[in-house]
Amino acid sequence: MSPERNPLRRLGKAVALHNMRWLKVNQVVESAEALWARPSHRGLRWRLPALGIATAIFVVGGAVALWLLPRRHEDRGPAGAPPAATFWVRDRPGSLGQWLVADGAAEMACRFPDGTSVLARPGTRLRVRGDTARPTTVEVERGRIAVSVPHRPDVTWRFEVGPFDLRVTGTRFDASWDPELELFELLMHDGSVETRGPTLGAGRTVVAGQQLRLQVRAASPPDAGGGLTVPLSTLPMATVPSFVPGAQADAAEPGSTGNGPSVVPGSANAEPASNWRNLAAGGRYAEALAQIEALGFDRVQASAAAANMLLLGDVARLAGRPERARGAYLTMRQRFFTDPSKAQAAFALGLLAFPGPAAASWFETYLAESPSGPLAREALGRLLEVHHRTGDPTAALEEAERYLAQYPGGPHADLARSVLSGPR
Amino acid sequence: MSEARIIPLLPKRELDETLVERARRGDTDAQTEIFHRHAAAVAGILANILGVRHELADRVHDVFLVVFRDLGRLRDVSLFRAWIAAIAVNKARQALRTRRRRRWLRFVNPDDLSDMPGPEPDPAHRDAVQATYRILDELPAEERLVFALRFIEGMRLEELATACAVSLATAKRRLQRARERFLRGAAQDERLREWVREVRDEP
Repeated sequence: MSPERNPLRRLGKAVALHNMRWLKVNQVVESAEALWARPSHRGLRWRLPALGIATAIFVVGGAVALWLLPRRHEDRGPAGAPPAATFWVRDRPGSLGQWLVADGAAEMACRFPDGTSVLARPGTRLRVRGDTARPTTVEVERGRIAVSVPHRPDVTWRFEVGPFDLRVTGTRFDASWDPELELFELLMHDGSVETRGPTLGAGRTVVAGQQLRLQVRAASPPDAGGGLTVPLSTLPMATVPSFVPGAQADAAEPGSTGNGPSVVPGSANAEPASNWRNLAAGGRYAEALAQIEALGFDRVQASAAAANMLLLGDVARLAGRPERARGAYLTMRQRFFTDPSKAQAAFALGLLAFPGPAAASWFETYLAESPSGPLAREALGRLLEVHHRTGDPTAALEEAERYLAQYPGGPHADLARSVLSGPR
Repeated sequence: MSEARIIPLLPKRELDETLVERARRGDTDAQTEIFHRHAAAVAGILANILGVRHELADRVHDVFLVVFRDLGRLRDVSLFRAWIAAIAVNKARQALRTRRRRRWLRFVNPDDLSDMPGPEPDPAHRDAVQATYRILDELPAEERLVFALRFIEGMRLEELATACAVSLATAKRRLQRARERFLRGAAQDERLREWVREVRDEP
């Protein structure tokens, strides 16, 4: 008998459907997520089970009754939602209209009575607006937020992220605004949002599984006087010492829309020369790093968007601070793990480790994440070099064959032929 | 101004193993993403075994505390999903045992299933759900687990055995006993009689 015709299974499906509806309507997952955002709650809950049965036996009757009573949730309201306050910020009541800043290294969790949660990354500055009965708008001046809004017809929210306006009902997304770079990013996990703002005309709907990235700042025209206009995030990649000169032309073209890095148009003439990005664009990496250090490297890193994180790593690397660079690239990959440009960070980590054996795994990572990216030929060539230098003949032969099959005229072709023609 | 670009994200399936490795190293972003991906499934397993109650959010939270505490012990990351399910089943088992203790001591009323907060499209379904859990409340915990996982959660026998940490033979034995007890109870409940009227032996 097929499952669909099995009466018990049919009954079970009806029960499961009822349960699923109840879970959604009561926002159980959202409530659990709000609990998850409260580290103090985790510790207390672990201490209770640790008492154990043996300890309970020795407790007087009243205490035993208290232990056996259902956990009381009066302090959290029905279904784990916060009590009757407008909203909560890190377990304290929040105030409408007051600017909130996620200081230090900790994220800032905001929870609302309707089950909505907003998690602000370190460095984020935001405020909540609305009437006294119900907050309705979150305004993000800078930084990144992760949002979960329960799907209910009476729940609508507005998120003003920089100059962008998001209308949401029942969705999960991450959104960020970097006012220095004028870069907006929206990452949809569930549902959809309608986004309005600069360059979006009548609005753009972004659905689950999509990412919207938009740089508002105008691109500079070509500067005949010698100013740099190539994409900042690709420039450092072309100047690594053992890079074969012929391959420099392979750096991502401006406006690339493949798996390569996001384009961050140069703006050497648009900002004061002391801006660290302009210094980096001019190849003045040591000065750029000095300015970043003056601002606070960790602080700049904490609020940086993906493209800035890459540039931060490049500046540190080319200024001779490999440990800073490594930290920035690793953080970029962790924080923006769904961003296609994280592959570029993998390539850069390979450069840092090159020609040591650890470099191989990073170049392999790049090739896995961006097999047809702008640095794929270089990654494969360097992978071949690493295996050749570290004395792994089997791997070197495989990569040599692979390289010649894809890039017979590439800068590592001679090395590949030499490996293939050598003793086996 | 530059033009907006819509970028398709990488498929989630490709990132699970990477996430686990990062979570093992204490990466809180990876832990949060793991939570997002699996919380709904965990909530479903718990609700299907225990019935819907207001403390489910706590139970989901408890499952993930164990997940991240014991993540280092998971040897085969490809079994991550099944492993989480087993933790959820174990938490449900603990909850069932706690409930039994409370009933025996009679200090408190037995837990009642939460009412639906909104209109249930089919009242007959609501009645059937309540009747189902009333009968399941009378089953031994291990039989209730296998019954709920098989018929409500819809697990295959092999999945069910893994989730309950028993052999396939044991799972089948418990399931047979659970099925027999459930059908006896359902035959005496007018809310379920029609549902189970055509039950025959399963293949």
